[in-house]
Amino acid sequence: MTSTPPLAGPGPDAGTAGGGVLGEPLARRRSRLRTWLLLEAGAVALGYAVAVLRDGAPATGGAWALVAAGAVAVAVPLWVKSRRELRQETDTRSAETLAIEIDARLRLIVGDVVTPIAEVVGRVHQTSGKAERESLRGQLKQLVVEAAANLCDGERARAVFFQLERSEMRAAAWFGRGEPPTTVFTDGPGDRRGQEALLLVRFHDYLLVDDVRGEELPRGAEPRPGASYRSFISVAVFCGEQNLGMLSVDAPEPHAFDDTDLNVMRAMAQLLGAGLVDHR
Amino acid sequence: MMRGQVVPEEARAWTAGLLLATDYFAHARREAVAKASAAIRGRLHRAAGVSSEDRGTSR
Repeated sequence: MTSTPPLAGPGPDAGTAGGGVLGEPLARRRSRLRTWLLLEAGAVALGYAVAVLRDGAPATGGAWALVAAGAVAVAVPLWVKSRRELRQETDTRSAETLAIEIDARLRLIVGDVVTPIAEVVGRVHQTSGKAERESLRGQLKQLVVEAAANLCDGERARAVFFQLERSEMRAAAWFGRGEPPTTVFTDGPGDRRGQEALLLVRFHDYLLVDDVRGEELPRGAEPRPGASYRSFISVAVFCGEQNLGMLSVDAPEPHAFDDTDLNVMRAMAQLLGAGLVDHR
Repeated sequence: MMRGQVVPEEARAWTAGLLLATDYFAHARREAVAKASAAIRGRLHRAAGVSSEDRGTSR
């Protein structure tokens, strides 16, 4: 890695305490609300003090009971109001945070990933030299697995592109693991997982599994013994009638991926297919 | 007015293999959150402004 862009350092919103990713801290808003409630309570107390100064302090038990009842009558609505307003404020903040998360994700996917990868796909087809084209294709495979692992929601998500060559699929690019993946999918009679994976590619399908241990899986989709992942998405990589391989992302926790991740994977697989397809 | 590069420098650095994916995505995520935050706040602010104007005109 080098030099070029100034990537280090906090973002524009960093250092805003109490507000998470957001600007005005929740603590400040809450303290404003509390100040307002205190002012209201203070006004009531002042009214009571003025009454005491004018008419004297309560002298009898009945008068004290009246004061206590008045205090409760004031305190209960104040307490209920403060609880309700704080809850409304928290709900508003949650909706705002959610909206920001969704908007940020959209920006990340469309602006920071799909746009530059599409440019690389274009360059693959513009290049005339075979060696240079293969180099760009290698780069594209790596970019796609990096994007898949970083865009899908799972924590510690890993992504692999298995390239199809002569009825076998081997890992051609991967991200998020220390060791290179060793799985080879074949259509040999003893390789049920391989057969299913090759069928998925042939039929241009995808498969999302929420929990490999928690749900009944189609035959051939079971993890190999000792596998550490719990959820995964596998998507066929193809362009037109040309089958190119399978893009997979997995995570060690169950239910790590949702519909949005699946759509991200479909888009990544199609971008990859567009870059790897041969001219006919 | 807004003007900028379709594929910015940092994205080019990532696609050229000059920048690690982890660094690129950490930066991109921070930027995206900051911009999204400003955009959503702006929209909420404008919506609040419009609704208070509506209240004013309906009286």
